Amino acid sequence: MTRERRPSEATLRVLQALADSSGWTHGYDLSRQTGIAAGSLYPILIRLAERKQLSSRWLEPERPGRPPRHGYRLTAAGLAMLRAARLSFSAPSDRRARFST
Amino acid sequence: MTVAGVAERAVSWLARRALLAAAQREWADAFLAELDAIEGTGARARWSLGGLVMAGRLAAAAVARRELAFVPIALLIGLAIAYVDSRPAWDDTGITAGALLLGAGVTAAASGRRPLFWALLVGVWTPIVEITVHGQPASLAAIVFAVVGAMGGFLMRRSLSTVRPIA
Repeated sequence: MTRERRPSEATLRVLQALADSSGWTHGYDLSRQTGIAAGSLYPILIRLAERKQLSSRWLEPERPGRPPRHGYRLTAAGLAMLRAARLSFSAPSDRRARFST
Repeated sequence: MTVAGVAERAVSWLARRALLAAAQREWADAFLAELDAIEGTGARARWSLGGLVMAGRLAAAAVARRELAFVPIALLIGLAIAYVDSRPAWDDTGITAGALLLGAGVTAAASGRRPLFWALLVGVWTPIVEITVHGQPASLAAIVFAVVGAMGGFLMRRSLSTVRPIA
């Protein structure tokens, strides 16, 4: 039997940012929304894509002369993981919130 | 071109090389495309450094169990060099460069694989500390010394292990 590891807080922030977005999101925008540096963000994206919780595709440039960029979107599996994690993380994060105030 | 401009180009070039060596092609391309797309935003240098970190993380994830024993040693060497080099009383750049050459060379020779990974593990801390604390982009040269040392150690190990007895 395989056990799914709990996602890290950074992974949850990425999942949440992707869930909040209506379309495809670029890596730079994700980094700005989540506050996660590029060096940490991409390994998370790679891991999510390997688990089929994230889909990616090359997007046409928004302006002519600019390079195409990789876009990211949550899959149904990613959304399900986020919902499950929200439930299991709600108690600890409440505790953290109390301690931080 | 300014020193900062040269440093940014150097880091960007290193990040490209490291990512292409450490990441799957599609993900390396994705990161590098993003790097090109954000040109002019002021975040490019930071993202280039992020590329180096990402390459290090991916290489570390892929590193074999046998090599893992050398990771704390290389980290310790790199951090010790960065610490000594950051002391206000320390001004012997030659010894720092020699220590980087030797540290990266020994760990790359002991591992026998991924010289760029060992170079980054040993050499990346000196510029990180120097740029963060003293704002000296010239310290990026430390990575060059580590790369040279690691390549030397790697090639030496490879040449020794491919020696065949004369029949």
